[in-house]
Amino acid sequence: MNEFRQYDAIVVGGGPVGAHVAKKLSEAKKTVLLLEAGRAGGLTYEGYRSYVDNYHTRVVKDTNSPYPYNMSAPSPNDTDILKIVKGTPDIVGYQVEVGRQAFGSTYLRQLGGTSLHWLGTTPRFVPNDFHIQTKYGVGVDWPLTYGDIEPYYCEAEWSIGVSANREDQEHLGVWFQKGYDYPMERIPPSYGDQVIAQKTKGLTVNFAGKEYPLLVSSLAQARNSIPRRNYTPVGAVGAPDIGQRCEGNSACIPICPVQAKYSALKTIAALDPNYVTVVAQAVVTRLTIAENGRISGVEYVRYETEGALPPFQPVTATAGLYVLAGHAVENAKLLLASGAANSSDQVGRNLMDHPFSFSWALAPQSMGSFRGPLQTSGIESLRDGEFRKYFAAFRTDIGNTGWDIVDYPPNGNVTGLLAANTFGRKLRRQLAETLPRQVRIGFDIEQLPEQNNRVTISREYKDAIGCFRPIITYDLSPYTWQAMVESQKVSKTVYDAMGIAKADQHFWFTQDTMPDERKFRAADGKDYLLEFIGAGHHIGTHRMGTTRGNSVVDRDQRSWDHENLYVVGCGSFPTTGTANPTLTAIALTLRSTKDMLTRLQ
Amino acid sequence: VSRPPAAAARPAPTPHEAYTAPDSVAATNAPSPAEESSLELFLSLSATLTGFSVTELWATAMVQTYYDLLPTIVGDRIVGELLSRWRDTYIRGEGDEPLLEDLVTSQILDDPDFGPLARNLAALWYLGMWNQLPAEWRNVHGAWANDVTYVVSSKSYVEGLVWKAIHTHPPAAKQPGYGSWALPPVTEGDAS
Repeated sequence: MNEFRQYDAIVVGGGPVGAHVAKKLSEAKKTVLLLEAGRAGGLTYEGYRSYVDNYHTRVVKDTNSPYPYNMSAPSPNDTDILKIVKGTPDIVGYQVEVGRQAFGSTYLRQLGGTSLHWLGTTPRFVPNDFHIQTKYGVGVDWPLTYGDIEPYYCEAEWSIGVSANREDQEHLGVWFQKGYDYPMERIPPSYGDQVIAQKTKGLTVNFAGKEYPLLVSSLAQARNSIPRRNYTPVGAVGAPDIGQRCEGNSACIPICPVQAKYSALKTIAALDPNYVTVVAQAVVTRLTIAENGRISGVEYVRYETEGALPPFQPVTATAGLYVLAGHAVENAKLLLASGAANSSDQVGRNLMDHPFSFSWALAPQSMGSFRGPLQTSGIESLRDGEFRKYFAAFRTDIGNTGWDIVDYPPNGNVTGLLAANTFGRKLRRQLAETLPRQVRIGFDIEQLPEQNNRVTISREYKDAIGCFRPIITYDLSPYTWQAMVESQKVSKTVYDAMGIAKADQHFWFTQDTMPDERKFRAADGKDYLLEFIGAGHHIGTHRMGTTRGNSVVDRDQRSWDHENLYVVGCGSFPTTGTANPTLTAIALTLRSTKDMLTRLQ
Repeated sequence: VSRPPAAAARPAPTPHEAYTAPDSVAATNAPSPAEESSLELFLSLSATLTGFSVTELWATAMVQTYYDLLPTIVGDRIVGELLSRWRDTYIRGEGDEPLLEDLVTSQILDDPDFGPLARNLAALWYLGMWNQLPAEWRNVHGAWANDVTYVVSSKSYVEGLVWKAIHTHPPAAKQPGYGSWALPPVTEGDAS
């Protein structure tokens, strides 16, 4: 079966990056077919609210918990990730994990993509992130600079609605074009942030023989606050008066009930239907390649309902340009399944994340925890420095919800006290006296590209509709492990300054809960047991580069092998930097749409 | 002290009784179950276990739901026995708070049959969820079909007392408004 209509472009994937491609091309009056593997839920206000109710009633409130499980377009879930036993792949979830480390990050296949459950933190990369090989002799350089991408950062920030004050973000060489400011004022820092900022004022840490300041600053965030100039905040899809401001629901991950947090649904709902056709429940299985090397079509299957069984009637759709915006892992999977774009043998390789380690403590006074957006401030001053010659840089986040990822309060606190026969007013008082004092600091740590950290596919592992499941091979290098050890200096300095007793400072779990794979002998000769989880920042599976030999796409995210194919998103990043990647992925892709439009003339 | 009727013998209140109950119970706002109905015993036990007054429990609008829930999970008999045990315990400790506290521990929480039920009842109020009873309990009393860990409803999650106890709101509900998180938190001194 063939799609009747010929489109100017086909975009695979309805997340924030694909939505922006559709937006830019349609604004230039190009016709676009947007194919989404998951459901198009959430485009009505009531439909979206049903996810909020679903979140309320889920026992495990993990990243994908509000969104109905879809076996026809499955997603990896936090609860699937197990301890990996050497030699035995973990096949419990959608993602097959080979090890040596579990890749603990998730994403969501549904219209709106992972922006439905993202946190919404939107720092820019710092300029040195684009050339760490030249500057520090590690990793690789990007084929473009901060200056090349800066105008598109501005455009992206106004498109998704970022709240920040320019002066808070001008650190480590980050600069803004003259006269620029963010569309909305910064989100007020939480009470806990204010306490930490005040107590740590003027403190430094020593990294590789140099002192670096610990500067607590407000985070740039894609959630609505007070608008500047002529900006109008974008509220909930289908109910625009709702969500005009962040209201402090404290559930950014996995769902903002009022949609004050940006999701790609907002961009998709605003697309001009005269130019963009959105087809959901359409799982692309293969790109077809013509003899001249051009992509000649995409094949997809459309399931009527979740769980429908094969065989399906495959559909072929054709266009002038093809844009894969399906997520770093899904893009790689599709290219591998199609035998496309891989003359460099780099497709699927260099998979990275920001391995996220954390520490936790009990402050002597209430920090007002469990209020506000999940994060409102961070320590951004350790995202760059000479130490990057020896170990990774990191962003430090200061949580607003106590020991959230440590032990998922408050359920265990309540049942734990009850198990110890604490009840009644004592129970109520003990909870009140401890939970608001909980502090948690986390570190998004840079990771270098490595050939063997990769996504592959195999006939052995397919999903319910016969599509390949991603197989992940993943490990951390000493460059990242060492940074995890160094990050403990930051925690200790902050906790000491806050007057927290040593017994109330926690840096790792007990040895018996830790897999052996996470034992690391640090530069000081000591062994450390290091715990980390995924940050949800899948990066690097179709890296951009300077030549067809060293990369999958060029600086415009166009395939070296197929002149009418673009592969876009976080998968194009050559290195991770330390910034949460979505803003950069959108900016990079806004830049690429210029090149796409040139080719569509 | 006059002997109260056996708790389990009394049928569950009609909707009308449930509706009129708040005023009569709230008026005293203290556990006094000597003469009480099964619902009132349930309320006074809940208040004692949670540290929230009967008035505060009614304010959650979850009383009837939770009262009806227990028998659907573990059956009428053991729920009735738990409430009878609570009535007897209360009569022994009435007016002497430290004694009553010790009696709740020794007569209910340390009891292998009633302890897990009472802890689950408190957790139900605090978290809006039912936790599957411990393996030892299920081995003795049977593995009831509905005895699974689950959140009772969206409303029960939202009304969980733990959020009130720690002076905040449940995530994804009862949002306190733009910028509220920047204000100093409620501390125990401020709380009534």
